[in-house]
Amino acid sequence: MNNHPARPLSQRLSRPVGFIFTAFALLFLSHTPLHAQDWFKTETSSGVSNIRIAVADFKPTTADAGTLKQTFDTTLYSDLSNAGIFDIVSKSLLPQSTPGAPGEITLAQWGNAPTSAAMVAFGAFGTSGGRITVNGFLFDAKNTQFPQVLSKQYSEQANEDMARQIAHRFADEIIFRLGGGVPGIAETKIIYVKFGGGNKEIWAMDYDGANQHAITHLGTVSISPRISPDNNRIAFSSLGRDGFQIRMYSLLLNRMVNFPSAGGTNLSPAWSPNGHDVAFSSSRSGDPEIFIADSNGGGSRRITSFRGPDVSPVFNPKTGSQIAWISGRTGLPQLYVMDIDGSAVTRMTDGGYATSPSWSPNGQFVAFAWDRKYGPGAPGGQDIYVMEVATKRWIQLTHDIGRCDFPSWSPDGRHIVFANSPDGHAASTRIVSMLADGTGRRNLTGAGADMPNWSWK
Amino acid sequence: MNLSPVRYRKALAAAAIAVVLGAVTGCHKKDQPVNPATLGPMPSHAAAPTATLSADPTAIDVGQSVVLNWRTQNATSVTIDGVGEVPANGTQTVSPSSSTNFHLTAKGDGGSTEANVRVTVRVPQAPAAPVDNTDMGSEAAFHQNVQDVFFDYDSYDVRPDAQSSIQTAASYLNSHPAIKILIGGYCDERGSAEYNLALGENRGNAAKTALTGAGVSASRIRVISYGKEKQFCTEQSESCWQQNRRAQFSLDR
Amino acid sequence: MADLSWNPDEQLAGENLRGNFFGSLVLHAVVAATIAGLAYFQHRGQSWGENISTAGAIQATAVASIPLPPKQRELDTGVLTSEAPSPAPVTTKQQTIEAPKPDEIPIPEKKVKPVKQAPEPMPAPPKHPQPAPPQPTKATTGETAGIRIPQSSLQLKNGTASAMVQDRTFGSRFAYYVNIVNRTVAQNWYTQEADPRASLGKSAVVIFDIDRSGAPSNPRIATSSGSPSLDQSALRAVQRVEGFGPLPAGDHITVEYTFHYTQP
Repeated sequence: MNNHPARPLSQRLSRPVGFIFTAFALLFLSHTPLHAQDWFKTETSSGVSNIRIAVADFKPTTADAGTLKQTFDTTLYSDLSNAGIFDIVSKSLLPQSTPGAPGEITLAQWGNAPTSAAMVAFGAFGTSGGRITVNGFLFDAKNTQFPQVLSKQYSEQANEDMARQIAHRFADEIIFRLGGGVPGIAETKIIYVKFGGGNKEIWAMDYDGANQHAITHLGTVSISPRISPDNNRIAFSSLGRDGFQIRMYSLLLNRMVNFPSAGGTNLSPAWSPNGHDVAFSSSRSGDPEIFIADSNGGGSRRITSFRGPDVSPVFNPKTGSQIAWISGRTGLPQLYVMDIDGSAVTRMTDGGYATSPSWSPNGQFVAFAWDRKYGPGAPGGQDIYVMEVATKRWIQLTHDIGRCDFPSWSPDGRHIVFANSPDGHAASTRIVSMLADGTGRRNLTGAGADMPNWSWK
Repeated sequence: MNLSPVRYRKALAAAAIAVVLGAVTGCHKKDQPVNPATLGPMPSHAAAPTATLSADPTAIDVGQSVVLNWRTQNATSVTIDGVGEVPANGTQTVSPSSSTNFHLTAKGDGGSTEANVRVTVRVPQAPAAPVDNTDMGSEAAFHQNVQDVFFDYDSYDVRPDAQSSIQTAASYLNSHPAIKILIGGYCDERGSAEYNLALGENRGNAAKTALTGAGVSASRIRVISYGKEKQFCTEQSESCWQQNRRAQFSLDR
Repeated sequence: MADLSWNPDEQLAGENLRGNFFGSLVLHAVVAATIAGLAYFQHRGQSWGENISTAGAIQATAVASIPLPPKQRELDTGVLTSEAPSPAPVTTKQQTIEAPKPDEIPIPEKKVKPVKQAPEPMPAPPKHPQPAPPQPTKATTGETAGIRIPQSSLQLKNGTASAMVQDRTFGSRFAYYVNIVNRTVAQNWYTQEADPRASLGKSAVVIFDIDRSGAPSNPRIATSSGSPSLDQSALRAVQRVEGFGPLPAGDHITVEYTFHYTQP
């Protein structure tokens, strides 16, 4: 499981590459067949394809299932499409039948061409007495003797939100089962900054952009929200009379909770994977340095001490023993990695303007925003990059889509959400998600949203 | 039978090569004007650059601004000291804090030329009156004497040209010990929000250090970084960005 | 395509020389244009990272941005209607009335508990009088290789990878799991680690266990390929895997995995 982002990239690249190469060889033209960034490719081009899955529309079992069933079907289809591990059978190739129960499915219809599905998700959806009842099944279309992989029943209040939630849960079950035991992300949340009217507030939404709603109403500028590993608290930085200070919001109590202020500017909090510590940047002693405090703000200790801004720390979520951060100690901000006691400082980027690191859940990669040609007169593009920490090899994930910043990994390590401004203006910034190999980009919000942070689970 | 197609192929290949060569040489021709120094005939039609520089008005009070206006011909690079690289023709608004000679250098294929204009800044006599411990001074007097400090790109070092305004500010503050000041650190809209907040903090601190170095007590100064969260100017241009890269002084009440 | 124009028969015909040349000229031009066009689009796709990655089906996914695209839904109801008796235009409700729902609902309800406790797809067999008969005809389909049901085999770029579970009942019952094991290990097999010359045409067999949580353990070479680098690459492939997902049944299984290296 250590290679999520790299693997799909290579699989996907390898075939067309070969094709181009032979094509050009035929023409006796010399052409270096590929662009320079197949860094990971050489190691991972196994040629294993994704699992082909067919998602049937669920069979309505009551007359009034109507729009809720539509919501459910669409959400389930979209969740499985977004998972990044499936090759989804397009709707037009599905058999014209709607099995609602195991006895109603003819596997040959689904397993044979043109559907050619390896797996089929289907089931029944009904509403009665103000409740939704869903029976969902996952069948192995190639195993006629024992086709059933999964069977689930859900019963919840009948409303749009629950219809979506049930679809998310069923999708996550399927993804967990077929994705090598990595939990799906359909039930995860993304918190972010919503701006407008001069203020910035913390908002939250489902992983697919649905259900966008405000968390804070502070009437000031609040930035850099980071949700705790247990999903109970949000740490962020907010502008008050004494400048920017770390603030804490409890999602259990639905109110602000105390986090002590300190002198100077305090910003960019980051949770340790066990939820006990918060790392942040503080200029209480003058120069902005990285500090670590416990999650109540006590026992703060300074980790870095070098002239120049040090900001945007992030823990290695796998080990909790390393921090990646941004430092301007040599001029323009660069990506660095160190142990949490401040030792073993390693510079990762060799130039340009690097910001906003996010460490992949498996600890192997750091995603960050990088403008490799930053400087007056050379307005380079700021794009999302992923670097393998052990080797410092990197790949560029976004190309020519405007300014990108604040990448954040999904807990399954298969997706990255980030902020993107197509025209470079701050006002047009919106939130976009993509697979960790840069494909499958989707806008989650319209303009006016920034600094996304994906929940840990 | 077989020969002919082969020959034909050769012809095709030859034609393709010819086309490619043509394209390549074509490209090179386009490049020529960019690199005139390497080519013999160029100097013959390179005329010496001309340049004019004017300021309107040429005399101002502290805090007012002046419009610089320049015209050049045959110049490939034009710089104005203290402003930096500028287009061949243009205008720019500047607010010098003391009398300044603006010096323009235009370099072209035919040599280089210079133009100067002097802007006189009438600095009001600092009210070096007896020290009054309760006098906060007027808001206007404060802003006239304590002027914002501007910074270079991605830098938090106080520029040499800001030293005189720091001195003016320090003497004003020293004569008004009741005044407490707030320094806001600001950055232009480029770069990362989080990094810019730290940078803004360093700019504020740099201005504070400069003031304390000039005798102002550190306890009277508070620094807040606004990073790029509060922009004075939202256009994407260097003059606008420069306006945003500042340490701004205000009365801390 | 270009070569076709010079097939021997036409050469014998001889006379039509000009026609042939002209034809070949046109074909060359077409081929060149096609390739140039393809190269352009492919290259473009790479820099965007999107087009190539996925064949038709998933591209639709990439396009679907936020859930609830109403158009898709209309399409689907269209499919439903065409399956149901065509005259009725507003069908969904009528269909549901036809369905024998009272019988169906109670049955799944009984299944709730077993399902929540464990992911076991246990009571499947009795429920499928229907799928059972076609089984013999279907044995040849898909990824199951030939005779052994519990085996899963994948064709890779540089070889083949096959997983076999020693517990045959498990293997046939949870063939999907064997598939996942096969796929996951194959994805982690970096064939570049094997020395192409020494490994060509050889197979390494690795045996390892999978515990209840799905984590592999104790990988060992059962049959050496004779190429140390191939053996190493096979072992590393298993070691790289963190997990396959919890076992659908049982405490552990033992997997026999064959790495066959066919081409560099």
